[in-house]
Amino acid sequence: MSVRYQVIVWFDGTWRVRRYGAKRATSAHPTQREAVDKARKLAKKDLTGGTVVIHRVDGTVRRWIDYGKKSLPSA
Amino acid sequence: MTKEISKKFGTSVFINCPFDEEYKLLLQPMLFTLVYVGLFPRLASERSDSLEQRIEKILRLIKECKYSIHDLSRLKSEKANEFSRLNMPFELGVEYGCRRIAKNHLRTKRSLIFEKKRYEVQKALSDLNGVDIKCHNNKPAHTVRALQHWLIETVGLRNVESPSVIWNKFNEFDGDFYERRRTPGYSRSDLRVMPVPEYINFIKQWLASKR
Repeated sequence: MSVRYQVIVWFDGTWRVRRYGAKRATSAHPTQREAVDKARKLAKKDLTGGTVVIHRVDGTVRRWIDYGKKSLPSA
Repeated sequence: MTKEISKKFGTSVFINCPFDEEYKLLLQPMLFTLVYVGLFPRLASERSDSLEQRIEKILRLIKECKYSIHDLSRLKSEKANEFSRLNMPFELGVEYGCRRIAKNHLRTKRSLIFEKKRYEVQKALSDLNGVDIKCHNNKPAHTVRALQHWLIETVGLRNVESPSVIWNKFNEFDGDFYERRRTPGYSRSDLRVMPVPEYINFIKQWLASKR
C-alpha cells in the first residue's frame, strides 16, 4: 500500500503534514501552500507511490494526488 | 424503564443544530467524535416521515436522549434582512423545561450549549447568564476539542483519547470516505447531501475496520 501524506489544519491554525496512521505530525507550516509543497516532496520520494490528500479547514478532502509506483532503475 | 431502554437512553445524544450546508463543517466532526467514544447521535433529520410533525419528533428525541447538544451559534444574523435562527433556542427551552419539570429519569439529563464567540449567547439570551457555555469559534477542530472536554467533564467518560488524536482520526476517516465513495460513482454533490444515518453508519463501519 502506498504511503499517504495528509495536509490538515491544526487547532492553532497552522497546517500539518502527517503520515496516515502516525501519532505525530511530520512537519508544521504557517500556510497550506507550504504544507502541500512539503507533502508533495515526501510523496514523490516514496518508491511505493506516495499519495497526498489535501484537506480543507473542515476536514473534508479538497484534493487527492496519486504519484504512482516508481520503477526501480535498471542495473 | 427496561434495561434495554435505559441503556439506549444513557448513550443517546440529541443534537439540536442548524441543518444548512455551512453547518455541516461542524456537524460532521461532532458526529464522528460522538460515535468514536461509543455514543449514539440523534437528530431531527434522521428520518423524514412527511406526516410526522417536526415538533413531535423533537419532543420524542428529547425524551429518548439523556444527553443533548444545543448549538446557538446562529443566533445572530450575518446579513441585512436575514432572520436569526430561533429553532435552536426554542428546543433548548423545551429541553430545559423537560429536565426541570420531570419527576423520573429525565431529571438526569445533561446538556452542552455551544456558541460561536464567547459571551455572544449572554447578549441575546440573558436568561442563560451563569450557565456554562462552550465556544467553538466556528472551527471544526475547536468543536472536537470542546466536545471532548464536555464528554469528560459532564458525561463522565474516562480514558477518552485526546482532541488531537480524535481530530487526526477524523481527517483519516474523511480521506478514506472520499476515496471509497469516489470509486462506486458518488459525485461530490452526492457526498455533500448524504443522509445523516448513512453518514453515521459509514463512521461506524470505518471505526470497526480500524479496531
